[in-house]
Amino acid sequence: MNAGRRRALAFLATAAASAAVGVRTPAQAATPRVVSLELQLTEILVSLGAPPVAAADNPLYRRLIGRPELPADVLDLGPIQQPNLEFLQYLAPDLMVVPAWEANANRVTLARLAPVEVLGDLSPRPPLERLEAVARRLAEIVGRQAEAGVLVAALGAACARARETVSPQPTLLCRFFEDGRHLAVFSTKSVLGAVAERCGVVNAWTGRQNAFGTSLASVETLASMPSARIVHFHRGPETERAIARLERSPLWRALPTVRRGEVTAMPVVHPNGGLASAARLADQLRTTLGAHG
Amino acid sequence: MAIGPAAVALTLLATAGALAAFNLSSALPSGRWFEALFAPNPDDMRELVVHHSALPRIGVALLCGAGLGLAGALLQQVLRNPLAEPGTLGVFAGARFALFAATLWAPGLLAFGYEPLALAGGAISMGLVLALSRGRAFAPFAVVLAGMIVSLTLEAANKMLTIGNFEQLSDLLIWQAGSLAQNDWSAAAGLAPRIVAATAATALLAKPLALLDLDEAGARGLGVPLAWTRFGAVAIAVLVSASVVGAVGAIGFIGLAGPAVARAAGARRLGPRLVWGACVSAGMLTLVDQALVAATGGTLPPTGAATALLGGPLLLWLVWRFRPTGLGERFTESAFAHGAAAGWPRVLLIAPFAAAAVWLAMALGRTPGGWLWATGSEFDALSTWRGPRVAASLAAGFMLSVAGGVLQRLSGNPMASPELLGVSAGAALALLAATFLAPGLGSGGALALAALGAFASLSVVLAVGRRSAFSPMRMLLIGVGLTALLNAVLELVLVTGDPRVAQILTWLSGSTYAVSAALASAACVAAALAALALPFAARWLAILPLGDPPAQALGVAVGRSRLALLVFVSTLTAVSTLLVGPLSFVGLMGPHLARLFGARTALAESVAAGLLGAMLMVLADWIGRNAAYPWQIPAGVTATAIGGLYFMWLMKTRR
Repeated sequence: MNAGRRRALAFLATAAASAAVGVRTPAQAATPRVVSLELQLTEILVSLGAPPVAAADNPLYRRLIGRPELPADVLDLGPIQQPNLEFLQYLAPDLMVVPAWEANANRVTLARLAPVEVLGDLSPRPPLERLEAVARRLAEIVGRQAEAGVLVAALGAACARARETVSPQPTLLCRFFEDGRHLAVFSTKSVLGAVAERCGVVNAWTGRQNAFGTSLASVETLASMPSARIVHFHRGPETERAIARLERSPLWRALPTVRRGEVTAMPVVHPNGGLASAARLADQLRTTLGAHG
Repeated sequence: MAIGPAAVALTLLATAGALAAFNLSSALPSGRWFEALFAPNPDDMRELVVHHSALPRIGVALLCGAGLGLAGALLQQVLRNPLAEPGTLGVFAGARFALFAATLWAPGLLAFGYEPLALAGGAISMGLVLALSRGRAFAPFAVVLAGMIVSLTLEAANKMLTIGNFEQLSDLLIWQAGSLAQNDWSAAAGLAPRIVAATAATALLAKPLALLDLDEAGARGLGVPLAWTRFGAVAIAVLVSASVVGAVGAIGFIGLAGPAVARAAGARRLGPRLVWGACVSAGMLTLVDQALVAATGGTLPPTGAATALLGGPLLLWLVWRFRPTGLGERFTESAFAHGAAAGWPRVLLIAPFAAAAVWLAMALGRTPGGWLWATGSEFDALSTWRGPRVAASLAAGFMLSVAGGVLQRLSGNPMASPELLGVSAGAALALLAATFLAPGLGSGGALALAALGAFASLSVVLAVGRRSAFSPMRMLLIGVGLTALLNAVLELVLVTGDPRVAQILTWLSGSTYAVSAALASAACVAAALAALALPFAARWLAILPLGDPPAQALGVAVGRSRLALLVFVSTLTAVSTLLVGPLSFVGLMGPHLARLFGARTALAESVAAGLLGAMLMVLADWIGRNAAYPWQIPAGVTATAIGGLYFMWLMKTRR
């Protein structure tokens, strides 16, 4: 047991020491030790060059966001809904950031550990505007306003570049479900849809969407949008299986879009990612849809 | 009065057909249907949609409905219970578990589609259920009980997997809610031969099966190999329902409803029940599905979730109408000894162990630096977080276990518990409704609603119990129904993608994470009050099972004391559901272990059960907090897993 305590104390000592080192390095003089409790915020912090000391659900980040790469020394706090409180107590961060939609009853509990800042709001603002506001606030916290400016500008530039080459044909942004019968559609209220819109891509989906701008559709709904092209996000083996099943369906093969060969796969982009994810989507739209234009 | 099962089935099928025709005509003028069915014009999208989507959807609905109806009728015959259906045998839970596990650990297996995996999962969990009940010659009660324990254990595992891998399993959520959307004929073509084969096999078995209508001795006297007939019929039912699950996901209640309606409409003998039961199920499923297509386009809500929701009221109606047949299984061994010696010394021996468990849960745990036995100021700092969780587990375990003990004595059924009788599910349903319909409700209001939900479901269970002379199986089946209803509501919420879902999911699986210090201390006060009330409750519990006249002679107001016990159990269940969710098996396990420990009288048993339940829950919570650190497994899930394994072992070793 004494060994365990020694290890815990040693861990805390290193954590404190790294904070102390931070004070001595001029570039990081004011960098607070931030903990992120959601993937989008983690991504923004990493792309600002100020990764959090710990974040919720790192395995999910590596699977869904991937780039920018999460440094190996960012500690894992467990699930987004239930970050480990005892762990956080040992960590004693300067600030914990949570997104508005996750901020719930936990907030009161979290506030006992360290200051909590809720980022963003639940107002129906355009998703990109909200995203930029979140990024700028995070940059302010970690003292990297210049980097935030670069990120925002990079997204703008990527969208502008895409806009020049992408044809305005209505486009359905989606992800195929493994069963080969359903798809998740990203419409204008989602970050993905908003980026596409800024790139000059007209969203083909006009149906209902939920608060996050996604909806569920089945393959026969695609028949009602014959002039649209389909851009889908490829998540790896599960998408392979979805495509294999779709290709066995005569209805799918008969869809005008499919017959015209206007089904394009692109590497997966997290639907609720940060500015870097958004810029990556813009670049992908340019390279994959530009050729067709 | 007697409209006849054929008339009901044909009316349902005709209505479904008319609705389907209405839907088709809005997709394509009726003059071109024939062409669309046999030779769709490859350049006409509307004909193609009708051919490859609308028509196979109708076909699949008919086939799935018929298959589930057949399976339900078979199971109802074998288990001699008009409330049985495939879900009862753990088929749905097993299929789900197989798919979840494959998605996470062996995604290569998914290349062959969902069907083989669902079939394997359903068959394995059925195999487990049958293996567990083999020692009792597949007696109906043993099968239902094993089915329920296997289902609940697997569902606990499924919840555990969903919490840790919500994103990865999201594709399966729409499948498990039972969507009938189609884009080719493959599902229909795959199901048709299986259902035909199952029908043929059923026809072969029909004769010996029909003899099961007699009592056991009579059937055996006529030379019916009881065990094998039951085994064959159950195997057919499970294979058919697992095929359906693999093709379109879990579709609840349809397998229950068809045969039940056919029976109510006058199908007395097995043959008509099988035939018309299957037809009624087919008609019902198609009708619901086509109604959804007409109303919403048919994607959301998924048909399976909708049928499960509609099934709730149906179940209550069936339960109410249900006439006791005198076939209720009784436990031959006397579970409740009424010896003179209470066994107090041994019961009191539990207390120091419970105290040790609490100390362990507070002091020992993993930290960023490894395992640590906390003392002094570190203990104080950690107890801010561990204290409420340990206290909540302690109180919830105590209350659930006491409630379970009271229910077991009250119903004379050693397999009764708040979880199995659906009392917890009732409380959870009320809480779920409160989250969405009255979001501003404080925890006091939520607790009142939960207690009301628990009380309502418990009243139904006991009312039905009284009608059937407290037949354990009838009461268990209501629990099955209420738990299925809770799952249906949950699936519906999951599929709509509401952001509040993840939070609800963690609560439903019994996490003490969000328990505040205030809530925990309130729970401890409630547990202490419950402990003080135990001597009174125990007196009634000792007297009431003697029967009403002797009880009255002993000066007990039967009605009032029974009502008081009901309120007692409901309140205990509501508080603990609020703390650790609706699942745990602790309410079942505690009293059992108490009797194993040698507690004899009602009071000694309650005290021992409460202490043991509290200890179990504290340990479950401790395991959950440390096993996957810094990730955390909800206490309810670990407790269910431990309890499920314990009971499977118990069923296997003790006949």
